[in-house]
Amino acid sequence: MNVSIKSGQQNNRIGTAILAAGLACFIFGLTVVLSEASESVKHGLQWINSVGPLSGKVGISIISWGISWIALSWHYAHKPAMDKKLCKLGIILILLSFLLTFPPFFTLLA
Amino acid sequence: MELTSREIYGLIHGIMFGSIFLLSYGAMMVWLRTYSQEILSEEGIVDRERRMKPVVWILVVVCWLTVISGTFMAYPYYRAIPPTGADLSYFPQAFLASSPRLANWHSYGMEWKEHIAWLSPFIFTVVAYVVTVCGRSIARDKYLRKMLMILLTLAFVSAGIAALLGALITKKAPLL
Repeated sequence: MNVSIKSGQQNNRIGTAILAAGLACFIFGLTVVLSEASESVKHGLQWINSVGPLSGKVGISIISWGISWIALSWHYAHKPAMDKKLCKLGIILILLSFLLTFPPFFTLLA
Repeated sequence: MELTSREIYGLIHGIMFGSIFLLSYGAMMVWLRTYSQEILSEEGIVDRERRMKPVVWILVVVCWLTVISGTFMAYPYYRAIPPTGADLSYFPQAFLASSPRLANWHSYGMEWKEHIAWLSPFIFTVVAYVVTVCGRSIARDKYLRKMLMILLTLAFVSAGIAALLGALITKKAPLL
């Protein structure tokens, strides 16, 4: 079935997918800041020694992406169509994650 | 004339996967901009949809392979810690950090590259998902097309920044 934001017949599938991607990116950005701020967090994120903390940051983001996509899809499935709002929120989170991964910004926050 | 295994890993990551993904941006944007019922006939819309769906998923795989190969094949060699007295030219991170003139290439350049690159697969996968779910509705829905173009651009901006920094850092400290 081809669905559209216009028709509002897709149970918010598009909005939840974009929001979940936005959340995954944002959580990735947060792990970057936290890892910079705390040595213990950095050590904890070292899931694979040769890759270092990046392995944990990636792992956490992928897991949170899957969980948030399932949870958001379930939560918004029977809500009124609000794809546009969810899409905008997802894009804002993606833009914030660009900022969170920018070294001068994350070192400042940390 | 030979290439070391490290150089081959770098080539697989940057030239094979990374460049294919980046080169597809123009084609994807043209496809989206012209995928409109005001431009195409009904047959044209159906034909474009049929061709686009497999292509976009192939690009998702390429995008994931780019970041996975970069992180798990090339990056461990970049960040390897040299033993005492070792030739630092084989250890790019240590080589960059050893010189005040080059240190920022690691602390700003590589730090940004290794992180921003990972935003791209999340964003691009959702583009492919929306293309698959919405299909020919994209041709009728201007808002949806605009949203996809924004997401596509964000995915490619993140990949592009990573690629540019990767190329510049490789010029300063090649993976030998």
